[in-house]
Amino acid sequence: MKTVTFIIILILISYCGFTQENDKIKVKGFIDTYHAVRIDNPNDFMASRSRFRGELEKVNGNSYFFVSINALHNNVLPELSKIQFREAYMEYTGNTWGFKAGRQIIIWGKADGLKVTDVISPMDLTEFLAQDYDDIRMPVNGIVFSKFSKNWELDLVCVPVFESYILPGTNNPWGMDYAELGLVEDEALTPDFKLTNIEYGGKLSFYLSGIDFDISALNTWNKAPVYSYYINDSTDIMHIRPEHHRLGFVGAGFSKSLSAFIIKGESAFYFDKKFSPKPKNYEAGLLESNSINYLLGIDWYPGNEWTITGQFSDEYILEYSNENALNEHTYISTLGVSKKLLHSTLSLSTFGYFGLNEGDFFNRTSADYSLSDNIHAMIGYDWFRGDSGVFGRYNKNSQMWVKAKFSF
Amino acid sequence: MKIPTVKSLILVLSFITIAQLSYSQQTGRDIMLKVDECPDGDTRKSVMTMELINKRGRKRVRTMLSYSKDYGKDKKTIMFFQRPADVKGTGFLTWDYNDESKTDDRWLYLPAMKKTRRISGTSAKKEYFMGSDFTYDDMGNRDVDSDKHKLIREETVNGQLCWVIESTPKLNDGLYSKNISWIRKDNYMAVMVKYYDMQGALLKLLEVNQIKKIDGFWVATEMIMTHHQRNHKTIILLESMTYNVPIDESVFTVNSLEKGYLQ
Repeated sequence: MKTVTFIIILILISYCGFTQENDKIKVKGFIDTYHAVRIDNPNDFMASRSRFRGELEKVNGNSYFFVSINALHNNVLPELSKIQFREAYMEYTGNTWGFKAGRQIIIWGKADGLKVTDVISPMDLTEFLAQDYDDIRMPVNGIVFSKFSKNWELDLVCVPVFESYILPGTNNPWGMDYAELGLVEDEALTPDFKLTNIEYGGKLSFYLSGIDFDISALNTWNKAPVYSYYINDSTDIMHIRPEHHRLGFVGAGFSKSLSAFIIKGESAFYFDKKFSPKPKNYEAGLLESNSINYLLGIDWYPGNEWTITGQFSDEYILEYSNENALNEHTYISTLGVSKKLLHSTLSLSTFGYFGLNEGDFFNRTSADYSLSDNIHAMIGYDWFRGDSGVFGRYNKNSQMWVKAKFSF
Repeated sequence: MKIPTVKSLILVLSFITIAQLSYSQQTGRDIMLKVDECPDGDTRKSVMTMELINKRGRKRVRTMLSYSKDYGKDKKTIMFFQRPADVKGTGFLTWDYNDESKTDDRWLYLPAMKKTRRISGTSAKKEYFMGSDFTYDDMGNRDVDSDKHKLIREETVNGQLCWVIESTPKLNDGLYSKNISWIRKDNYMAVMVKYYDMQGALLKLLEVNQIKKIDGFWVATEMIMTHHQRNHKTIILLESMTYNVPIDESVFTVNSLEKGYLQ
């Protein structure tokens, strides 16, 4: 059945491409294939997948639609071999207002690879952060109403359907095997699909000479679950339950141009955020505190097609309790360097996350060569180090990978 | 009918002579100012193709759609890549300021990331534009008074009488030690420019092969930049150009950039 559906979709896309001159439906997309091998024993394949992405779009005056479809074949995780709509939305843009409705990716904030206010589109962590960042971002079903002028824009967002992060399963090299830890994982506690559970908020952005800044507020959910623990009286086994709860924040961000530098910052005050307790303090249940997330960063454009970026972020939990599984401060910094060579056909880049509390890190270094206007060939190395922490826990997952991509 | 007297004739002749003298005594800066101020309408819409050709003859093609509008001496431009497929929808929004003390504002939109980021407005000027042999400065954004201009001679190029102007940067802040431009005397259009590196060797040669009058404005529709030190060349073909089309101010906004298309 899947094959039949895929063939129908392909025929539709081919038809649209064939008629694009007349109907102005534009077709684009890519085919990519990605394979990663663990460096440490047992040198198994951490990822092996090929994908077709078809994108259709049409502009008609003030109206626009966009559809993207993924057809994925995954050798390591066969259950993920599937065809799915990624995005499907319509858009209307007047001179001073517009809206965008449907399945779409909504990006907020100034940070790169770190999330302070950018929490509307959840993350697909099937392969943790060891994939392209645009593949990590997930679309949501929602509507964005925009009112704008030459220097400012107000976006009001409403997302009626809750969607959580996608976390790696137990058969996944990136997954957590709770059974090994003597835990039983329960089904996640998620919000019901009803009117009072919608996610809503707004962002007011200003784009001025030399500086951009924004203020935002959102009534949302913790899409990355927090975990509660309890002991089943009849079996005497500890259970772990992922839970999603209401969360609200007010935030602000800026991006300032200073000669060859861009200085940026972002912060958010989270109200009544839920936190997991340490397993030994499971009886305390979920903990609730306000928290402040902030980030400072700098982008440097020294010229000659170099780009150097650095960021420092902190999640500071107010009214901190020692029962909390997190530290009072969670510090993460990032460093990125990229350089283009050979008339911009070869792009070398490295981007690293550093967990400053645990001394762990994850670094992705890659070379991307454009063989032609359509084909890119890439090779890279994902390096995990540390004994604990969000990156250090994957210290056996360092991998070498290759990727090829044909864009059309 | 009043017959002109000898005195009035002398007066008229002397006026003509003074006018001719002042014309021929234009300085290099005067000429380059006129080149810079060549009328090009208040708004422009264009589709431009760049062919990047390496030493083995392999060709890569980039096509860009751009809109620009003047705001006094400042200018706003929005540009989207239409080809190749892997960068299609990538957009640049630029607010260029005439005031040198003010840094230009630039934003880049990457459709794969669905994200706009502010990028530096200063360092980009020396950068080669999207793998081509043109820097942003070469594309016409350099302020006339950033260089000292000297009229060195007059010369005929392809049957057109030209001024030859040597321009030397006032600050040692660019890629070039100097450049020499051949400016047509009839329409103030450059037909050839030689760029020299910091050691004084020829770095690049720009040849303007076709100049047309479109909507009453002179415009270069075909030019080749040859990079002698990289054995690489870039051909720019202006596929379409329209002047003074009504363009709403909302086009030059981040909101418009994030759409990845223009209506």
